[in-house]
Amino acid sequence: MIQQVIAKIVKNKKISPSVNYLELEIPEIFKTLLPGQFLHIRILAAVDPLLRRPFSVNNVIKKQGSGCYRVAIVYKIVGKGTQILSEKCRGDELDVLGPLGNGFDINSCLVKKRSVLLIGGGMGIAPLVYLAEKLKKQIKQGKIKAFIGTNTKKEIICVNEFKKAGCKVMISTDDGSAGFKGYVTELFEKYLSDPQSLNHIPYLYACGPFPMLKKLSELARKLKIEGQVSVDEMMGCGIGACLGCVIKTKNSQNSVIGYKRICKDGPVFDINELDWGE
Amino acid sequence: MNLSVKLGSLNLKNPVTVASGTFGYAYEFAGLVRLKDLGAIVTKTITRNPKPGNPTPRLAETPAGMLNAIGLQNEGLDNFLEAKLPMLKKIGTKIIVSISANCLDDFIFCVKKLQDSGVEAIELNLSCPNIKYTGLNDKNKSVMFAQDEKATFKAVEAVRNNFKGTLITKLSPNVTDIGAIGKSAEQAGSDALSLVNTFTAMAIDINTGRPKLANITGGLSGPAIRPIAVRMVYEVCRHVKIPVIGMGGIMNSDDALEFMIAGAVAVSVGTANFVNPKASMDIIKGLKDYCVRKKINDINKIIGTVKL
Repeated sequence: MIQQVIAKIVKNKKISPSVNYLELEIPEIFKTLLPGQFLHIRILAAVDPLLRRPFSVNNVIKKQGSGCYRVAIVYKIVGKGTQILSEKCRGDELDVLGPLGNGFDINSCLVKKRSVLLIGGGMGIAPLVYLAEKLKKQIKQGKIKAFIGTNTKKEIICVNEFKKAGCKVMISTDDGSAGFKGYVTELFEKYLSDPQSLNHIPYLYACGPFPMLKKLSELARKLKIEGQVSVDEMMGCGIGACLGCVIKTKNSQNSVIGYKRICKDGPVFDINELDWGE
Repeated sequence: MNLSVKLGSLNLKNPVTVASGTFGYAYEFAGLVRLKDLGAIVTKTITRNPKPGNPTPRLAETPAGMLNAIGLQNEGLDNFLEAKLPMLKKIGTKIIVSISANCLDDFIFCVKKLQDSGVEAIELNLSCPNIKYTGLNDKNKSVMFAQDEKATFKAVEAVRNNFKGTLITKLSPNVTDIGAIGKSAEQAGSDALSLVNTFTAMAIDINTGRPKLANITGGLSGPAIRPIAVRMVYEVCRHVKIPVIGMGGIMNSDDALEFMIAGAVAVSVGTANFVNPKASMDIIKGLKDYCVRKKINDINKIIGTVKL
């Protein structure tokens, strides 16, 4: 059930030049949070910036010895709202609406001896950590592979968190300053080109910029790989009422059937469901 | 203390309603808002046939405001009657169904069906800035009904002749003389007016050089428009005798009171529902507190009391 609550900031620290790690103390209700769900946060009790900002959940941390859950969010400072958020301190309070959205379906990857592949681009890396955490209870150590890509080495985030969740981590950077030089989709293609990688049928979970997800969906279609993608869009209400954050979807015959709400019907969609346009 | 107000024959338990398009069909807010405590719920606009809405992006934030160009996306009248109206009727407050059309035949078709389904009140959305109306005027030009006195008169008259319940006409602020348009709606038989809809506006991304909305322009709402909306409510109230529902950037009870003192009998909370889903509840409480503080036993006593 969606709640509107006041959450206290426990941590808000820089983890790369423009990326912050935020930890919120949140009432127990948030233990129901699913990976891929998001929180809609009012950053200031003022009219500018006016709208809430949606943030995906990076992880849920149970505080030892109490019923208290902390929710971790990793965010990039991109504009007025996130700038103000980055200036908030421990003890400050935020008006939080959530949990929102559908979240990743983690049962789909558990059938038929599949290998689980997580693919994150830029800030899309962050929500896959919580997914990996949830999956590690059900999947053997080392069977989850995380492909993460950023523009440059300084922007790489969450590597240790993926390792803690038992993932094998593969890195790409556009400028080659770390790992594979090129896009994460290219790194992923290279991985798939090794016949051994298809010994187990891969199942994809991806989050990242639109062109990356589009490329992945083309690959998935070509290689008949199943999976889910999480998409991002400017949002109004966050609860499915305003129809501001919609995306075009297709049916199984590949014809466009209409708009779905990213905040309510998504943000996670079947990799073959979205119409990526020209 | 009396908080109830009247819009024609429609009795509201309090003056606080939610604006069309900002509250979906209410069930979206069910866990967050005590829906039955609202004075009335104005539904998202429905049209005779389903509408897919505009391309994306549909939203942009601006200083103390937001632009939207949703394009009246909805699943059409039949879906509304089957899937949404039964749930709305169970809530226990007044339901005002917002409808739009680009020709009189569709308006008449919709209101007849809504009347047969027991709908008590309709808001005629003659003022959505994000869709184009054609085939109304002689010259076949595309125009917003609410931007033309004659077009407004014709639409209201056509609906009035086919609907016995409370008829509310929603006006556009994108006009030179909103008082004249309001007068036209009154003369055609509207029971009440609601204003303002959003202001046609535009925002450009300076890095790409492109408009921030795929529709190029959109409707501006939020606190940024409030003083203009208050002025328009004040002006319309001086032109007409029928009750006015005031809206435009209402975030709290102080804002709501401003509209009521300017002459509005009721108010609508719009964009604030996105920012604080409980805004409407807070406003109801704020109005009560104001009456206690000012020793007013009937909220109607403050309507139109602006001292000049």
